[in-house]
Amino acid sequence: MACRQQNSGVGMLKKKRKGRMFELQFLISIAFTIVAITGIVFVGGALYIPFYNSTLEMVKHDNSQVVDQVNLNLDGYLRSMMKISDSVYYKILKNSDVGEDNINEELSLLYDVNMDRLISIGIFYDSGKVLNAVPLSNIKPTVDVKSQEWFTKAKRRIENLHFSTPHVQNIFQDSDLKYRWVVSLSRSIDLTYRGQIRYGVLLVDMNFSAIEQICKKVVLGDTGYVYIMDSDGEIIYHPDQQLIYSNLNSENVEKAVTYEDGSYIEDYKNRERVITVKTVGYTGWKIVGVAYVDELTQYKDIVILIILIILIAISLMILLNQYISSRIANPIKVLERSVQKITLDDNDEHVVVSGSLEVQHLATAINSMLDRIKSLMQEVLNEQEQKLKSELDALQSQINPHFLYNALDSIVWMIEKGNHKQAVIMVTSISKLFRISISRGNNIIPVADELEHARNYLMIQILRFKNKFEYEFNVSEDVKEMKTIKLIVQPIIENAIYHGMEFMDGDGLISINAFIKDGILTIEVADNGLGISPEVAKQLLSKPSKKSKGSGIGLYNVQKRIQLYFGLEYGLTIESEPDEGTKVSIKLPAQKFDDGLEDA
Amino acid sequence: MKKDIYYPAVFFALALALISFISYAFISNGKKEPEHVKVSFIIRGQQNSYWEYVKLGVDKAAYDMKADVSFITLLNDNDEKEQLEAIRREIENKTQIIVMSPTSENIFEKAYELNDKIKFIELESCTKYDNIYASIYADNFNMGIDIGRETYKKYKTGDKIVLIEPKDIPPYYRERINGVESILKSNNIEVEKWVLPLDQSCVDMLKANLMLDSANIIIALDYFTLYNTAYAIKSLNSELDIALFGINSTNEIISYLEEGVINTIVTENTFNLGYLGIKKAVETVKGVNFEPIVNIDYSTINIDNLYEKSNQRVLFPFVK
Repeated sequence: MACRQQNSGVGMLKKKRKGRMFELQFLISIAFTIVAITGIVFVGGALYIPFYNSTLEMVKHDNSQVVDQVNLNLDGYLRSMMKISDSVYYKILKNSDVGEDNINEELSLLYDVNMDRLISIGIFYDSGKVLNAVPLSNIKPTVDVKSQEWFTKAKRRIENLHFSTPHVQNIFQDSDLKYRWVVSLSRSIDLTYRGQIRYGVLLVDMNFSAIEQICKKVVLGDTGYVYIMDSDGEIIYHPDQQLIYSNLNSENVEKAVTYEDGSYIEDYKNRERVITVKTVGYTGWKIVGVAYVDELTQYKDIVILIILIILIAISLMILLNQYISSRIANPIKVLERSVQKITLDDNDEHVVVSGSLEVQHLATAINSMLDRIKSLMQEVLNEQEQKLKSELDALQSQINPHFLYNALDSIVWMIEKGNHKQAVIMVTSISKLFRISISRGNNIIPVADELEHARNYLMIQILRFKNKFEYEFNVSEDVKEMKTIKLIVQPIIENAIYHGMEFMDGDGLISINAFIKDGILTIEVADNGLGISPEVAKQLLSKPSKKSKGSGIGLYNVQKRIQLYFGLEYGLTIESEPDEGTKVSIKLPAQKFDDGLEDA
Repeated sequence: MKKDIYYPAVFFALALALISFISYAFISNGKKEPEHVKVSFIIRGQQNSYWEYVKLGVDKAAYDMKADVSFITLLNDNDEKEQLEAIRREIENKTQIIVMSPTSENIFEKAYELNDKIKFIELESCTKYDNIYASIYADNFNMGIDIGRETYKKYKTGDKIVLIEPKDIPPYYRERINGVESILKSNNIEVEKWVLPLDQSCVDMLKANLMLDSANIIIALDYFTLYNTAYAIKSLNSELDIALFGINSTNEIISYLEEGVINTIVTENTFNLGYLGIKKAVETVKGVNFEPIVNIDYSTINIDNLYEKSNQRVLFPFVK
């Protein structure tokens, strides 16, 4: 259970790892793209910032020029108004006794000359009563002049001229029922009344539209404008003044009132704008020029063009990076597929050598490594094969001690019985058996020797088994000079004797046939014994278990040795029918024995 | 051509073509003038300072929103037939939208019968009809309530209150009456109604009524009824002690207020009425109008607060 959990954990880890892995081409493409975009943005930014700054400087410069011009015009207008006020005061009032002289004609003349810029001129006593006024002189009965802002300001600071904020002039009775917006210029004055000095207030109502005329034709970009406010942030003139008064628009006066003269950048209503402030002399009013940065045609065009170029450059970079990364990654992919194929197929193919120099070097190195691995593997295989051969040969060469003991016992018995002739035959056979077994240490011997070895073995066993069976050799002449590995026939004959002839009573026959057909040398050992079942026959040639003993091991070893020496297509076949007998065929390549070259 | 050179070359060629195309499109598009919207602005009466101030808003909005506006006045106040004729004429002139202060409650239905495609922006009242895309008005009912409250402040037990009603009551007027009556009826104050003809004979009728019937308080709920009532009262000189309350303002009405003929007025920001009327019309034609009802501000004004800064701005828009 724990193991299963562990395995599943490993599986998940593998999956996770797989999930995080990206193709080389993707990684290269992404890395290149990020680097390229960073570079482009950096270069774009590096180009944009100086351009932006120079544009702002240009706008500030233009704004300053425009605001200076407005200031000049407004200053001229205000000076002219003050000049009118001075004229009334110094040229008319100072030279007249208002209690005795009629100043109306001079006032009317002054008004007529400046009527396009003026709404009214009024002279008031300290009590608020009107002394003289043009063009209207009747005060509305409901109006208290002394409570008017322009009047109180003049009385409060008598040394100054006072400019009001725009307001509706409401003190004079007008039969036309016109309610005009004015800016009032008021000052405290001394009046000579029947030789005595009295105080009063001089009012000059400026036509508001004259101020409007100064500002309204100013152009700052498409929708830029100029407005005027007083030092408290109260709007004197604004192109959208009525919209601001009606709460349909607003102006950033709270901020602007804090600005000293100069140019500033601010964001208002999500738009970046350049503010240029200039204070008007005498009044403390501030002229504010507003230009929107995004409205500058050249600026807007270039910014959009830069953005377009950056976007296109990024798109191009992505495509180009895709192309370059594929050029880099493809040879590696080919190499990877090639290596994978070799690993899976385990064949003699080599990896494809292509692509860049480094990839080619890598492919060549992998090929060399593959060659070396194969060579080493072959060496190991050969060594193991050789070792197995040696072990099997050694095993096969061992004489069964029981066989030797029984043979010697039989010889002793023959001598004791005086059967010296048979004893001689047996000793001679044993001697030949050993000689062939030794064969000067060679494993490959002529078929004739192998058959001779078999014959000697049979002769010894016949003597031991007291002629329970007979044997015969049917060997064609050409077979004898063929080569074979030694000691392959004897174990089969031993098998036939012990398992086929044991219960025979003189009628047992073992036939050894050897012939060549279709380049195959066949040596058959057939008996007419009890026979074996196909299952047993199959078992005899399969790898024996460690518990197996006796003949089973012998046949398997013979089979293994033949195949080790000559290949898997050669070896033993067993044909058997119960109660009919068994035939074991040895298949070998029909190759002539060459004494000097064998076992090299 | 080798593939190594071919692909980058194609990329660069495409990029250059794209840059050229976009730059051209951008530059040529940037120079295009936006199309002006054709708007008809039909009022419900003759030209006076009330409509003059509305027109200031119209002109400002027309400039700001790039609209071609036909400002159409009537020969007679609240003349439904004349207004319908003006609508028909404007439809023939291929107007894209009509901004209109209705003379009657049924005028939109009759206009729909003339042309079911024409769009309307309604001023001064809020009528529900398929061809009305937005209504811009001061809350008539609440203005009536404010006048009712001012009247109630002046009211003394036994005073006779008269409510002036025009012969054909326009929609806005009906709502204002409801507002006034809601206050006076809740205080168990009876109101007498005088029906006023919409022509010059109205002053004579008012004078006769004023002479014969001793009204203490008179309520007139638009500039036509208010001005004519004030005029009639002033004509009778100081023989009568009548407190006059009303809605709307013109320069004449303000003059009467200053003279004490009119006690208190409630008035809306007429500049806003014109400005927002055109703004909504343009937005409707361009398909960006998502606000069908727009309420505008109004103020209660008497002689004491007449020249306060905020009231100056409502009563006397800048005449440029």
